[in-house]
Amino acid sequence: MDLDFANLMAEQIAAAMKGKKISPAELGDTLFRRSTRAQKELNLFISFDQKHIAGEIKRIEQHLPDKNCSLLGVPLALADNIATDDQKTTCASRFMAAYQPPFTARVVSQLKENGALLIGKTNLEEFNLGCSGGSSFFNSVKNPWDLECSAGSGAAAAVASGLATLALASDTRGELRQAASYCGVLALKPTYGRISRKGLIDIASSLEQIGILGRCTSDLAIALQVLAVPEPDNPSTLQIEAPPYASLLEKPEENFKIAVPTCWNEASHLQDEVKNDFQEQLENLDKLGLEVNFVTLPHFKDASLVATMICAVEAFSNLSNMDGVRFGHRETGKHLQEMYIETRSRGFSSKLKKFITFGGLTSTPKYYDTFFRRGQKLRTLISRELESCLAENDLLLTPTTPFKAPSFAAPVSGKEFPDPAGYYTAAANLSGFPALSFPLFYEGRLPGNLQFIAPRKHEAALLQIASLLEKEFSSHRPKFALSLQEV
Amino acid sequence: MQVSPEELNNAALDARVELSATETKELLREVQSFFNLTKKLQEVDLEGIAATSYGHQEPNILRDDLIRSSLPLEESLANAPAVDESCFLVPRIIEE
Amino acid sequence: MSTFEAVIGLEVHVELLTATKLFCGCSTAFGATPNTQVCPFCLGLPGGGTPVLNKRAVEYALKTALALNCQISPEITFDRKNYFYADLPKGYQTTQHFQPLGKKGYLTINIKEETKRIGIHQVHIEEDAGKMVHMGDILSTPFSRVDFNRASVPLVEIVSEPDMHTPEEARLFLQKLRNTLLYIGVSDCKMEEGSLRCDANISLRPLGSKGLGVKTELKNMNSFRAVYRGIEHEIERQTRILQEGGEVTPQTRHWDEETGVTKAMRDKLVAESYRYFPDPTLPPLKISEEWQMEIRSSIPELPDSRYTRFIQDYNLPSYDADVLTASRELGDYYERALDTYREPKNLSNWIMSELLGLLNTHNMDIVDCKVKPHDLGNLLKLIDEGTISGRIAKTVFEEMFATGKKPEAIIKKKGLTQISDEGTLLKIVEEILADNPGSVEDYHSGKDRALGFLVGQVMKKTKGQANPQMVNELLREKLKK
Ligand SMILES: [Zn+2]
Repeated sequence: MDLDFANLMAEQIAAAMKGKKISPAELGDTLFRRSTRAQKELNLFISFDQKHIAGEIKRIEQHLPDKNCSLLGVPLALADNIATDDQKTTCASRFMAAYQPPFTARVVSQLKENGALLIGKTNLEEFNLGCSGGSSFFNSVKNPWDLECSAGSGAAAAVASGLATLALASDTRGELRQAASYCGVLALKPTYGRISRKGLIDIASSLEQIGILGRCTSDLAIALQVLAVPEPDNPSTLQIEAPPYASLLEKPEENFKIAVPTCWNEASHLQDEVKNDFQEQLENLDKLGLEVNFVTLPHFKDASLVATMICAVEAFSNLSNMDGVRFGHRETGKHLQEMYIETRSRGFSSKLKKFITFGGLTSTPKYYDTFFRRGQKLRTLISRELESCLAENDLLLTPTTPFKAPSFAAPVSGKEFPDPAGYYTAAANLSGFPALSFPLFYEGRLPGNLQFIAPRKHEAALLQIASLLEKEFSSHRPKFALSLQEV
Repeated sequence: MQVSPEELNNAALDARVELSATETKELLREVQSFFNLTKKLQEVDLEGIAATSYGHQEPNILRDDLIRSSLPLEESLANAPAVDESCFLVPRIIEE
Repeated sequence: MSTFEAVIGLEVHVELLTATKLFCGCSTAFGATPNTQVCPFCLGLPGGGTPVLNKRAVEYALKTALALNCQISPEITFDRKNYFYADLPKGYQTTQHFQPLGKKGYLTINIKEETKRIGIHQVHIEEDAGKMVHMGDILSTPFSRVDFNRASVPLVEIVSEPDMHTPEEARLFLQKLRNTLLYIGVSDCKMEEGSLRCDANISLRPLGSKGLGVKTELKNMNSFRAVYRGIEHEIERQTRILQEGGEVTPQTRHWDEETGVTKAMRDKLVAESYRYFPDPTLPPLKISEEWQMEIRSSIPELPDSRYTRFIQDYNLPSYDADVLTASRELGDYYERALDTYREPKNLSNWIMSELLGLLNTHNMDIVDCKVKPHDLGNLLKLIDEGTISGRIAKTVFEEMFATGKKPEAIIKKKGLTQISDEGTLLKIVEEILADNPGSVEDYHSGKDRALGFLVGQVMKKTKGQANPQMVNELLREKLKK
């Protein structure tokens, strides 16, 4: 059988595995060869090796008789801030470069139990702080569509390049969706707590959620079904059963009422290309007979600022365990506190040092009320605006990012707070609402994107609209800059 | 709102990181521009608006007081840069 | 020279008697090999999971707050106190800063025959830190070892109002607090094992003034005696400074038990002002009226009301009531013995002199006492019925204390039953009178002491078993003739 994973859906791979049309050994060899090649070209992995892939193959062979494995043999990439007990989990930080967790994240166990094959741990910005480049201890990830551009994350690059069918990565102010938009893949950030956060090394606990990257809606639906199982002893997860996503996709709702915030074109660094594409898509939606309304959300445009205020303070606190005592890098110091400073100053990137200093500043008594506390109140306001908008509309629509994959030569952002890439994405993190980034393909141009935000717990609506658009828009997918099929 | 380099360096110290002169300068500029961006937000009337501190509004969950297994000692110590017998080792506490 | 009044507030940390830690299922047992009662969460490992609150810890804290007469918040929050220290695995301590469990409570103490109310500012739940072991002295050690078994063990912190003015008041408050916590069974309150720890905030002000002076925080007092002495010393030190016209420096000082002085600890980089903010991983917890009622109904009678009841119902002097209610177990013992023997004052005397005397001599606690309350009651009954004399009873009691045997069995086995048979006694009395003509003569010539001697002789002859009252009567009667 042709192992062109880029054109195979998870369901097809699992069926081929069950039908013995693909042998596990062949699958393992192909994946290792392609991973090696992709790594050389894109620098998308932090950890991957033949031994682990061989181990995964052995595990999957044992799974073969089990007919209930919906993800049997499905290649999975995992962002390196999600814990695995058999591979290092570095968060792309020098401080964490040797960290080997004695446990595995719940999401990884869930996917593996369903037969998924973990290829390796992917590169990201240090502790997933944005995806504008410059902070990974393992250098930046190149975009498979254009090697001169950033991919945003190794997870998105792995899915885009056809290496992985699914990937998991986290989303704090939109990183998952931004990287998906740069790489032209689907991204689903579920409702906060829908998927377990156990084993995620989070930088901002109240904002950050593990999400799914994939190339088609049905793959996302299958993965979400496996992952969205309530965890009774974890107060940071939702205690509700997930609906049957796959059967909801079979007869999708087609009369969506879609709202577009009037401030959509006020983003800084908004590229004309993105603007024109978005306007064109609005017309296309109209042609499909979908009702599109413009709505005023007074504080949607402030979401990124507000999320940055909150994220910095939570990061200041969440990363305080990185002290060189129980794990991680350690420098010498004349005394304990000096050891801390030496260790953290050398263990963290310049970008991260500045970010947590910023969080330290805005949480001092002097700024606590005017920044952090105020930020938390604005968060309430932004959530309420979204809530009331989505009480009258099914979905909120924006571009995912104001610009396409930034080139390494002329990065759009990365220096200033807040990261301009988060203009559209941060509101979903503040409110905990689910959001989906949908890729748009153009011949000879980088992929574009749309972002949909749904009310809390309504991931199904996101999958349904994506499925609808998939049928209408995604007939042509141009060739990658990097082709792994021949490898 | 004007931020001084001292304030920034104190915050860095509280975060137990040391910023180089360049980093301090860059951060000062970035923070100042952030503060300018938030000027309008400082005027938003937030009277009576509660602060959101959590990712969702679900109620807290309680756990029964039942012992679950802890990590084996080797695993607890496995990632530590310095250990002594069954303890983690840290440099002297007193600063002079 | 001006006189000063000390203003003292206490911050007491108490480890709760739960089986597991506050947010994870690790055991809280004392004395395990270091770092064997830790998991990814309480070790602060990256990705180590989110906290899940221990229900019993909240219930114990609620019980504490209610027993200390606090107002209970309908919704409580958990907040992070951020600072870097070697014993703090996560770089922050989860505590309650914004909406603590209990506020505005009080405890009463009895001092100089008066009852004084000491305010409780706040009662809240928090997690403990790990333990540091220094190589020798903390000042000279080149490095320290850290054990995280204690990290995240549930604590309640009880913060008093600055309502105390003498070391004695502070000691009494702490004792009353400990007693109350033992009554409600939420902690074993062992200062030597660190399950009860007390810090004191101390300042001075000119006598009669209402303001507050500069305070110091006193730590490392590991016994009641240390609390008393430490505060006493710190008041003397501050008094000296102020009388010499100096100023007290606000600082943290450690009590050194061996040298008997307080010392300032220099920890420059340990923040003076902490950053607090709500813990994003722990949603607020509702404390419903029903839950409060349920917990309230599980609180046993507390020392104060028991004290009052002992005085009213049993007619005990306040001293006796105070001693008998000093621990829940002793009070329970007394009342159980009282079920058998309904003479409250007699029983109280026996417990206070004989029972507590022996416990003291053997350095034992009432819970370790082999004598069952019912058996003590029976022993006292046997005295009242005249079966044994009070003196014999003491011997019997010593054996009961040593072996836990029933008094009847001991008396029977040793043949200690009191001789109350008039015929038998009369025979012995006559013998003694015949043997001691000198004493008889002395008695008749007005020397009353002779009677005592003769009684003694009868008791000697009967090995103490003669009923002393009857012997007395019989002798007087015989001597009249
Ligand atoms: Zn634990």
